[in-house]
Amino acid sequence: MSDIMIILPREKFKSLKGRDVRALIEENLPKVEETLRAEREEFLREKIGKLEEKFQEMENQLEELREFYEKALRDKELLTAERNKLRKENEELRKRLEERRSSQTVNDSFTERELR
Amino acid sequence: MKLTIKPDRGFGKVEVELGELSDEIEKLAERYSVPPERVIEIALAGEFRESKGELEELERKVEELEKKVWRLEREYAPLRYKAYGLSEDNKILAIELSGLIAENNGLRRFLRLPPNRNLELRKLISYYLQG
Repeated sequence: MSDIMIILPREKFKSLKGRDVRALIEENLPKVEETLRAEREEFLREKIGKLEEKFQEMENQLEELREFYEKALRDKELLTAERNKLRKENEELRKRLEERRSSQTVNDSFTERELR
Repeated sequence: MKLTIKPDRGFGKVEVELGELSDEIEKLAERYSVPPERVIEIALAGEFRESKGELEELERKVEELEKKVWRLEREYAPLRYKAYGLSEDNKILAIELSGLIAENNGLRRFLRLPPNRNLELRKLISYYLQG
């Protein structure tokens, strides 16, 4: 570990003058650890709050997505069925129209011959 | 390791040789993921706090929550991809169906049949065409 430097408020700095700083640090280390634990606990409590919020939000989003997915799946089945039904119906209608047109042509040619 | 302490205003400095104490400071700093300067600052400031003895429990809770969120994220991404694919399929079907409906109406008109009014289907088609 390299040398370190810290800056303290002037009053705090003055109060250290003439004291055994090394001994002071050593004596306070257990309390420092306790303080660091308290700080870490506070940090974790905040983190838990954020994570719980995120979890709830994601759960709601996932629920919405699941609903959207299931609806899209049902819609796909329905749209495919309707498409197949319409394809078939249109084909039949086209045939009927063709038949009507060809019988119309036969009728027209009869009328034409009678007119001559 | 040498520690130098300076005031925020004015002159002067205190220099201390920390010797073996630096190992203990380093250990604490590492254990709580803070710089060694912070350890010394707390020690000198004299403003201490008491923990509630919940550290291990809180760490465990964070880990558990992170796993739960991660599981949701893992489920979300592929489902979103699949839902997007389905919605694109439905869009293509909707385009195809609009053409078929127009053709059906034309044919019915020629054949003098009543028009096919499927309002629900039309609503669904326009929903996917807008998407």
